[in-house]
Amino acid sequence: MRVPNADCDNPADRYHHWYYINGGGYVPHTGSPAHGGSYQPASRSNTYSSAPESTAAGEVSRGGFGGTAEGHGGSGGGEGE
Amino acid sequence: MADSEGPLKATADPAEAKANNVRRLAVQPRSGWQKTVESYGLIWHTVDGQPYWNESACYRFSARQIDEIEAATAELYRISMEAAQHVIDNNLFARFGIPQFIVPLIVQTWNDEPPALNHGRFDLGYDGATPPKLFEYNCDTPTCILETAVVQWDWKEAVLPQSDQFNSLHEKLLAKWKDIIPYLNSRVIHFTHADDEAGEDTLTVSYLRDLAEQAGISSVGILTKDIGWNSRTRRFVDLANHPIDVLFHLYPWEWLIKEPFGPNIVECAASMRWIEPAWKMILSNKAILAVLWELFPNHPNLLPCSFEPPSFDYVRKPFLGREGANISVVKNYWTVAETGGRYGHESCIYQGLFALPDFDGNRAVLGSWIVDGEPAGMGIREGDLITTNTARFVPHVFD
Repeated sequence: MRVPNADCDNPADRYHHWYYINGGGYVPHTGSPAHGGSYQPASRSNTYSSAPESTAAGEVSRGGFGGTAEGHGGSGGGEGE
Repeated sequence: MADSEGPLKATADPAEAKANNVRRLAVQPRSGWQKTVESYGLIWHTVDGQPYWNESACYRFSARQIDEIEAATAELYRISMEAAQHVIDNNLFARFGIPQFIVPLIVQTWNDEPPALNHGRFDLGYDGATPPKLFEYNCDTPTCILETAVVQWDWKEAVLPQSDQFNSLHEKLLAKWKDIIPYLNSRVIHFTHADDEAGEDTLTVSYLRDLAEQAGISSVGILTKDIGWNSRTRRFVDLANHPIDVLFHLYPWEWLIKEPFGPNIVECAASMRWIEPAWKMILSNKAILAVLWELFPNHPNLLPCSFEPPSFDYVRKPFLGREGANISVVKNYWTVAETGGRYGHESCIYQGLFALPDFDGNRAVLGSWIVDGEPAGMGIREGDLITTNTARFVPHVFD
């Protein structure tokens, strides 16, 4: 079961430990079961991947990037720069 | 190999070729070359019925000339970095038209040197006889990578295997990914680009993404317009609402910062890495060309350049122009060539006119690559007086 990251960083918490998931593997939401990983870090033990956040309706907006290219027809066509 | 042997035939004027020793040679295109280059991902080999990838010719250099181009590339990188430091030390950002809100991030990334490919393409004029001259440095979103790194090498191996080619771009980019991945502190890199009809941006990013995967990291692709902003977590997110930790963007910095999400870049800077970093905004701005000339006047690899129209023949370029747009060529106070585009309202630099060598009406511009300070090969585009997005890519060899 995935717990808040802060619980794993709490030295007083002996019950929760960091669980390492393979690169590209599914990262579960907090409270969901974790599979396919190990309590032992992989060779690049200093890497991590942000977990998906539970997202309420209206929290995420899109379209704030890309508008310049829309009016430009993309930067492709032979030489972007 | 003599010019009259094998698949080659000299087409350049013999006297001119002898003088500068760079030759443009006619070559028999490979049978089914379109399928061959498509197999390497170059699907935009033909544009409006005309070949963009042109293997009916090649350019031949001497080893001495390649050494000269390589040395010039390293030297231009060195003085470019000095010029960037000068811009920061003297707070010239307003002169470059860079908004104040992004300046702290530019300075921070310059000082911290976050992991990056730090790749770029110096566009050079070169006649084979005099030192290469810098036209501009494309280091924010440089393209022509796949055709330089992979397609022309495959062509050389198939057509002129005994010749050499100035080309280690693939190897150096792969090595650089391997170098920086442990420092990214992420298992995933997101890759973004515009939704381009031509497909060049898509393929360029796909190639760099493939290199990253070969180097050992997972990747996720996302169109720039699909990037989301989570107003609660104050993070950029992908289509699955996963926070983006590392973003490779083939989308210009100057566009990003002027779009609605631009200010958010600063807000979440501590939790996100951008490849390339914000400091590239200094060197990808053509104002750097005028600064370079101020700092290194009469440098053998620079053309005279200023912020005001000079008394000699010049080329006028917008600070942030792309694809050869809004460029004017002025000779004897008359505009002899110009291109349209969307950048006409911007501030401009005025660069001394360089007479590109003419090979039967083809004028070649060298794109000399650098990866984190190391010269990495070159590609050649040829066209008319102004190199635009219709210029053809022509492979090269040296002996």
